[in-house]
Parts: sequence; C-alpha cells; structure tokens
Amino acid sequence: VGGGQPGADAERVVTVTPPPAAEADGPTVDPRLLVYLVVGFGALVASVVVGRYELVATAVPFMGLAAVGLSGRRPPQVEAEVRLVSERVLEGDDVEGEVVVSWDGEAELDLVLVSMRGVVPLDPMPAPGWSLPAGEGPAVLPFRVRARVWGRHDLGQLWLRSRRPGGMFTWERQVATGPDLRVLPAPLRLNRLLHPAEPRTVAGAHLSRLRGSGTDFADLRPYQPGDRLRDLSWATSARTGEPWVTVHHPERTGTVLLLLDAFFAKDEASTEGLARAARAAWAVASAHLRVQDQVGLLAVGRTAAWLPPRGGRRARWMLLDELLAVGAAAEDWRRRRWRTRSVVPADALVVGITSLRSPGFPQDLLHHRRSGRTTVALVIDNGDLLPTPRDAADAAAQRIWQLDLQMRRYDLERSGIPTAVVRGEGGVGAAVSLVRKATARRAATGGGTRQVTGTATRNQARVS
Amino acid sequence: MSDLGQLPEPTVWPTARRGVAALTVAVASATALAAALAGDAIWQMFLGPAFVLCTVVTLNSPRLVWLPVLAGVGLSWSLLEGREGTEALVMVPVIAGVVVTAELLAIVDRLEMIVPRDPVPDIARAVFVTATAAALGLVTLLAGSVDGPGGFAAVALGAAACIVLAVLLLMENNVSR
Repeated sequence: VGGGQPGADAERVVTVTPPPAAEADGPTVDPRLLVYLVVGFGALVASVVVGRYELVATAVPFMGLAAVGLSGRRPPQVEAEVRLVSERVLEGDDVEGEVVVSWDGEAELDLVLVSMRGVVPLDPMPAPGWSLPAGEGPAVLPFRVRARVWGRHDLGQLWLRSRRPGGMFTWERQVATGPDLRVLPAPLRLNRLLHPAEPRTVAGAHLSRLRGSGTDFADLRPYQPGDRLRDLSWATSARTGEPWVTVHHPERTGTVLLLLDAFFAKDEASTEGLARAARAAWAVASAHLRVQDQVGLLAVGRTAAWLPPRGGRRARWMLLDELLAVGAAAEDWRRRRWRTRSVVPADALVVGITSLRSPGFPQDLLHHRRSGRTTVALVIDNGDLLPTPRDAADAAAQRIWQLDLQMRRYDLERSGIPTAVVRGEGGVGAAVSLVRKATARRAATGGGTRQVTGTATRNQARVS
Repeated sequence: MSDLGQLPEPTVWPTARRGVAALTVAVASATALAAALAGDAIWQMFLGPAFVLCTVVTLNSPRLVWLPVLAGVGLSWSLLEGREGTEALVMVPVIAGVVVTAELLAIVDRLEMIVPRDPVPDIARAVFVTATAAALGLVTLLAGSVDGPGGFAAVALGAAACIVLAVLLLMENNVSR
C-alpha cells in the first residue's frame, strides 16, 4: 500500500453475484389509463343516450390508447450485476466499474445506483444512473467513482424502473447490490520509529538495554578471554597499553499497540478527522512492521476493533482490515462493532492516536500508563475542519473548545504521557520525532515529564 | 412517479423537462385557440383557457392528468353544438390536441429524475400515438356520416370492438396479477 499506485491491481475483475431479485411489487399504473377508459366508455354511453354517433369518434381514440397502454402489462424480466475493476484502492483514487443489464423483449429502463458510501460519483454525474430508451438488451453501462474516504464500503443498491414501450404500467425494484470496495488510507511515509520499552529477544531494529552483538556502540571494557578479536578497540588499547574491547547493543524487535480513538459523529468533519487518525495509525504500523516489530490495534469509541500484536505480512493485512472496519463503521453506523475483551502485553509500547474529542479516551491512555506500559499520544489536529465561525460568540466557543483540548493534552503530559500534535498530512513523522525525543529524555532523567509539560505549556500559551 | 430507490429529485427542473413542459403548454394553447376559432358561442371562448389552466396545474401534479383530459373532451364536445355529420370533423384537431397534451404531460412526469433522459423518442412516440388516435376518430366520423345502415353498422362495429378489446385486456390484466 505504501508505494501503491492508483489502480495498481486494476487487472483484477471483481464480480459480484447479484442477490435473488427482490420480489417485485405490483406495478404502478399510469393515471392516464383510468381517465382514457372513463372517457372512452363514457363517450360510448353518451352516444347511445343522446343518440349522436359523433361522440363515438371521441370514444374510439381513447379506447385505442387505453388498449395500447394495457398491452404493456407484462413486466420485463431484468437481470443486472455491478462490477468493479478493482476492489482495493487508495483514498482519492478513481474506480471504474460497469453495470451489466439484460432483459427480455423491448423495454424502457431507468437504472440508478443509490446509497453508495465512501465514494462520490464522477461519471455519470450527478448520480450514477442511466435512462435507456426503448430497445432490447443486453447493455453495459460504465461508471466511474472516486474513493472519498477510507473504509470498507458497499456500493449501495442498483434500482430499476422498467416499462414496456407505450405501456402504462411501471415496475420498480432493486435488482442488484453493489460490491464491497476497500478504500485504503492514503500512504504516509514515516522513517522514524518509536522505541518500545522492553524489546523482545528477537532480532530487530530497536536497541536493547542489554549488551551483546550488534552495531551500535554501548561501552568499552578490558579484554576478557573469549572476546572476539574483531571487537578490539585498537585506539583505546594503544592509549592504555592494555587490550580493550568495544561492547555493542544488540538490535531487538518490540511490541507496539496502536490505541485508536474511534470517537466519531455523523458529520463529514468527524469522518475526515477519523480518516486522519487512521492514516497516522497506518503510517506508524507500516514503519514498525517493516522492521519486524509486532503491532496490534485496539480501537475504542463508537466502534471497536481489537487485533493482538503480531508481526509479518499477514499482520499487515489483518491490521488494515481492522482499520477498514473502523472506517466503514464511521461511514455506515449499522456496521458498528461492540468492544471485545482485549489483553494488552505488559511490555507493549502503547501509541494513542486521538483527536482528544472523546473525554473517555485519555482515561484509557492513563490506564495503560498506570499499568506500567510506555505510553505516548499522537494528537491529531482537526482545527482546520471546524466550520468558519458565524459570529463572535461562535468564535469564542471554538476557542474555548480548543483550549479544552489543550487542557486534556496537558493533563496527559502531566501524567507522564508524552504527546505531540500531528498537523497536516506530513506531520506524523515530525510528531513521532517529538514523542521519541520526549520518551528518551524521560528515560534519561527517570521521569522527564517536566520537559514535555513545558512544551505543552508553551503550546497552551500560544493558543491563548 | 415514485422516487427510484429514494433517489433525490432534482432541485431545479432539467432543461429537457422545461422544454417539454413549454411544448405542452404551447400545444394546449394551440388546441384552445383552434377550439375558440371553431366555436360559435361566446361561452365556448372560456373553455379553452380553462383547458390550458388545467394543463399548467397538472405540470406539477401528474396525478391530476384527468383534469386536462376531461376539460379537453368537454371542449371538443362543445363544438358539436349545432353541427352534424361531416361538420363535426372540426372536433378531430381538438381531440388530437387533447391526446398529445396528455401524452406530453406523461413525458414531463417521466423527466422528473436526477438522471438525464433524452425525451426525443418519447415525443416521437406521442406524435405517432396522436396521429393514430386522430386517424381513428376521423375514420369513425367519416364512416358514421355515410347514409344508411352501412354507416351505422360501421360505427356500431367499431364501438363494440373497442369495448370487447378493452374488457378482454382488463380481464386478462386482472388474471395476470
């Protein structure tokens, strides 16, 4: 995904078998039919009553029209399916697809894809719909949509309105459902890693506090029998006149748990805020998975997701799947999931990714901190998603709200959880660097909350 | 017409729908003008505008299509006042105008959708249907004007055929449901 190009797997054709067609309701009868019949019969009766055959000249055309209208009462047998060229795309990518529809005899069809989630139609505009004039099938109707927001979305339902040419009966029903589309978060490059507190004994990218074979310098000590000759420090040995060897830190892998704040509302800004959090989570996860770390995901809020820490390629896809499920829940509340029991490893580095909108999320972070886990927080800045204030009171309310967020962040830092604000698309790397430094300072000073708190105070002063 | 899959209706009328609506009003006005020119009495002058008014009202309320049809039929029947035989042929253009107005109103209704639709095939079919209806009316009038039992028999046969056809179709329709 990281280096994926739009439509990279465009060769794959995803076919969705349409569900059994919904039982067709009765047809809608055109209001003209009744009035044509009434006028026709009425004119015939009137011609007999008043004894004027000229009235029959009124009856005949209307009866003829009614007869033509009644002749089109046999519903067209329509079968349709919706196909996508690719089922997996990145945010912002264009997706091409087609509706294949076939029917018996001659018919007029109106087809519309409705309730599409997570995508915006590009062609046809403004809705992916087609109005086919009277004719015989089959027909292939191409369409193009743009993946708007990450998540696992369904492309809605294909609705059909059909009638026979000249007929006065219309049938409406759902003929197919759209396929699922997986919209992956836009890739964010991240070169910095957070260091887990206690790297595991598997070789990896993090420096262990233990000493052993590795490449990073740890210490010098006098030579002891059994030491490798390649570890001899020639400069130190020459200076002291005794053999000294260099000691290195071994590189180990670690466990990282992404704690995602899945608090969202039904507004678009909230969905975008969650998408930013997901992009950040995916960037952090990708970077750590690349260096063989074990990465887990715990999403808490309006929906839940739990993936125990694991590494490797399979973990990457499972993590992405869980992230997509969170995105789908934000787009379609029917897909929300309830929280399940989760057991977080004691040595895991907990990386909270939050906009701090949820008052309960800092409590979750504090819980992990108090349990002895190294905990950091990446605070997603969604200030630009706020609507433009309409008046002074509105502006003041937004100001107070932002100060409230600052206070929550300050409270976290005071509790020993380093935080950094992620601003813009490229802000994850900078934020990771900040919390990494803060964590290192904290480790060096045996607490170190003062430095981080100072940063928060400065930020708070700037906002004020 | 019901919303197709809860599809939002267009907030403004599409260009094609506006064009067909204008054509409908124009046809209704021409029909009213033709009736006014053919009519002899002063009161007949008021039936034409009433027909046009009913047409305009129906543009926004398609379920009321019976209103302009009944008004138009009344307008055409009013022209029979004092006319017999081939003189009643003046009624044929008015009936044709009423039919084409009703068909165009149905097209306007069908264009009430956010998906663009080409109305030209529908208009062509409406014209064909109207021409057929007018021809049927004309033939009936001409057959009826023939003196003797032949003319009467032709009209009676045509009327009976219409009734039988409609009843058969209605019965078959009920069975098929």
